[in-house]
Amino acid sequence: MNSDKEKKFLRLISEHEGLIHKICHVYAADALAKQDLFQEIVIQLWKSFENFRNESKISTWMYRVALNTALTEKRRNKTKVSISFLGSLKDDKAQESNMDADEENLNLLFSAISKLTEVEKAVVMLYLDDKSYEDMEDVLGINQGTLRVKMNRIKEKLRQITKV
Amino acid sequence: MELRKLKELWDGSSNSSIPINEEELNQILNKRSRRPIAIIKRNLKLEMAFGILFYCFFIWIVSNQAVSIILYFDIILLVVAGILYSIYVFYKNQLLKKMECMSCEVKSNLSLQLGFLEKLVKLYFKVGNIFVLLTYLIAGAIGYITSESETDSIPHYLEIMIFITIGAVLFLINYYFSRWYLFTLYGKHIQKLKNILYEMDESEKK
Repeated sequence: MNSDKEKKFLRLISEHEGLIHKICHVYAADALAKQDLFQEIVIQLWKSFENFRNESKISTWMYRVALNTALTEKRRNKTKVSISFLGSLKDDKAQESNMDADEENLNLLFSAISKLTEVEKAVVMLYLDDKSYEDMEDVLGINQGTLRVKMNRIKEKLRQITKV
Repeated sequence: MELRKLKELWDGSSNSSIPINEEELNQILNKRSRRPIAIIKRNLKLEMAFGILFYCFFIWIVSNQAVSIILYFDIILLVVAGILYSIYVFYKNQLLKKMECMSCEVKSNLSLQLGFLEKLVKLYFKVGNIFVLLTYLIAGAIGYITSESETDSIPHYLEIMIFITIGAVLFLINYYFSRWYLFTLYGKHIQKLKNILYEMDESEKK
């Protein structure tokens, strides 16, 4: 592996790790599935990294690769893989024992998002990350009019789920 | 819960991440991808290895045959089979290479994947059925040539009838089995892609 390239990639991953973790939280059901998905996204980012020519924003490129991976991933039932950094992905049981109000709300948020469809999850994630409709179109390939309609439906769904 | 509050929660949701280091990155990059297309690519390599093994085995059988008309027939068959198999592997490999564009827009990548996956399944299905049919016909032809000199215990028309009946049964079994097998392997994934694309297109069509 090219060391410079690897360091550049590592820096990139470290800078945008939060984005990958959020996608894992939204698309994977449990800690092991999150671990699997995180690894798969990093592998796919690495494979696409060579062809990344700064034609689009880094976050747009990362979102594209990560969502393409998450949406087409084959979920497995059991896995024994364990890597230390993945400890940062909060374990559900650990959360239960030490839960403050914000964590409870965060759980509520993720639980609400988990009730959405695969496409809605992607749309709401980009929305919560303050992406413009233009950026969302660039990532998903859905036109802005459709995205606005979808977002209104999603807001309504989320409102009902979280009982505003 | 207010949308503003949701956004705040969302922004803070990844703050607890521990940065990934070089060693861990290497560990991840050395892992095998579990994506359906990566699995199909690995399976193609396995399929090629088996194909080459079988091909070598048949070359060995043919090279041990005595010189006769059957030997020439077998050599022609072997060459034709080798050419056809190479074309099949090449075409399939090309399909797999073009099958995905991970850094493209999600919708276009999924459409691309769906289109090529459907092509691949059709290719599998057609090649599988044609292969069984051809193998059966060739085996019948070889059997006919070798038994020409022997005295017939059953009438010729009955032989042909039995041959056609067994062939039809075999073909039907293979047809339905490969349909079921391909659906089991790729059906769910294809359906999932179709559902996602349908949902993406839903509002645009309205």
